[in-house]
Amino acid sequence: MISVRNLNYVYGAGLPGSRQALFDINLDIETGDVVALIGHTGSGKSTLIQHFNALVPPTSGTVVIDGINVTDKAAKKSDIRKKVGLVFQYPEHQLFEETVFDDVAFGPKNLGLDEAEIKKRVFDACAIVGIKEKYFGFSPFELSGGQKRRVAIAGVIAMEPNVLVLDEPVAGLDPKGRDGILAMITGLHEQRPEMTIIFVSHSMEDVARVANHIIVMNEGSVAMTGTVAEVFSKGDELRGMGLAVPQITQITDRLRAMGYELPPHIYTLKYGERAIAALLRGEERTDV
Amino acid sequence: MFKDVIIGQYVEGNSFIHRMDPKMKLILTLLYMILLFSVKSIPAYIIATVFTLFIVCLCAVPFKLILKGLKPMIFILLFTAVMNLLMTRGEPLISYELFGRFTLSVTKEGVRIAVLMVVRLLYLLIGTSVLTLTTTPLKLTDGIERLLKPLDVIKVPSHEIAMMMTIALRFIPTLADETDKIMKAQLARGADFESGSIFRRAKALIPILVPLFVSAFRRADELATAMEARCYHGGEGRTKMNVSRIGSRDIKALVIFLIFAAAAAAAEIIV
Ligand SMILES: Nc1ncnc2c1ncn2[C@@H]1O[C@H](COP(=O)(O)OP(=O)(O)O)[C@@H](O)[C@H]1O
Ligand SMILES: [Mg+2]
Repeated sequence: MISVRNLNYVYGAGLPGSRQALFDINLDIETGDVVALIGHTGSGKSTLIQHFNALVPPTSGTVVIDGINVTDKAAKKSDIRKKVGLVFQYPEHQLFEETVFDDVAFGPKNLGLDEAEIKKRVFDACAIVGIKEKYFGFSPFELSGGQKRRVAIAGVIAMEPNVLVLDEPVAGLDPKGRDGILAMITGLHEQRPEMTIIFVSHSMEDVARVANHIIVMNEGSVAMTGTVAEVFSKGDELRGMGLAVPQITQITDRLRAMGYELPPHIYTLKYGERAIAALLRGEERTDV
Repeated sequence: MFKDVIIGQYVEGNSFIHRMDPKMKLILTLLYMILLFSVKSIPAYIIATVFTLFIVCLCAVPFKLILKGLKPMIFILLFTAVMNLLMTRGEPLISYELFGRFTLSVTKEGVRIAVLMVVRLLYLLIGTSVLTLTTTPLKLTDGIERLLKPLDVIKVPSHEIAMMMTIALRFIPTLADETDKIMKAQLARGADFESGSIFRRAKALIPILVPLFVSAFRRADELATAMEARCYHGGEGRTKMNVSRIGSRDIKALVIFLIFAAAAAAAEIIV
């Protein structure tokens, strides 16, 4: 359970050229949710999620994670970082160890775990992200872009956080790499339903496929929160913020406006395809 | 945290000094330094003080910001003061026996030299801050390139020096950003940079340095390719898009400086 109250953040507070990035943010995220954070570039998404991990101190306001007040000076940063795993954008840029195994083990080692536990966690995390054992001895720099990204994500999953936060985890990947990462998020949610997953994305299709809740950021404020259905039913508002609803929803909305009877809440291609196919079959029958 | 570094930090503005030609600013800064190191008497110092205050007021940069740039230099200033206080021979004011063998004494001359030396360094720092705060790094390197140009005949690669400076300056904020990002990413993985022995702390830097070097090399490679793709081939036959020339404003600035310098010289002779 994450709750954010009246959070404000100013970059370079008190200096010329200071810039407020977050304005009075209030949020509640339930344990076990898969939450998508959307908003155009510069809307403050990355700034917000760094607060979940005590990497930036709020200018004002509080962030409470499972009862620990992150803003509290007495709270140990290492406890917070054990609880909340943060995968930065382009996490492959943080790889540094000689082998894949050592890099994934870096986080667990910092937690002070014993050898056997570290090994177990590395194996588990690599299984989740789909890095095979034969790569463990490779240098991370020998891998492809998509593989590097998986290794970097595994490095955070291996710390077994209660909350996993991913900043644009599919940015810059090819369609196959994208699908892999999204399937990984879905798989992780099924395997560990108690883990809260928050991810930043610009693709409404990806959001519809993976998330069950959406937080919409606009110019440093939270513009909307709700279930996927609630947020995507407000297409016009989203468009006003430079965002959109999934393409399939755009199509079915248009069809509905033209008088075709389609069920509401069509956000994924699969469901949309079935609904339209059913409509076509139904129409054929009435036509004949 | 790396954003506090003031070097190369330009403050937008439209003051007289902002609009001066960078060549003239560089020349005047150099002359100002020479002036500071040739004045010795109190009246001359007062004239230098007036001139320093004059340029600080004229440059329309918040004084707070100039002071902030001086902060990292406090140690050097203190060190200079202490060394001069203790190492100058003369009429002792206070003496202190050390281990019964050495006498440390603060002399009247020592106090005088320490104060003058600190003031001199302080003004030097303020003067150079005014230069970097009112001139974009790009204009600054352009000025340096054009001042070095006559040395081309003795094979000084003025264009290349300027290009290297431009690129280095251009990448300071990028690398600072990158370092910040990598540090945060490793902190998120439980890295600890702040506790343990010096040896442990040095080792803790590896997770920052390796990715930083990898990214610096990648960027260097990309930049080189991008420059070649746009047919960069060094300075030969290259012309400038914006050529700034010494104008009446710069002559005015030079004259004002020379008047102050003459006054300081006169004060020096009279005393
Ligand atoms: N390190 C920084 N220093 C100063 N301003 C920053 C920094 N990082 C981000 N900002 C500013 O804060 C705002 C929000 O940025 P960010 O949180 O990165 O947005 P997003 O991730 O949604 O694209 C932007 O206006 C950006 O320019
Ligand atoms: Mg971002």
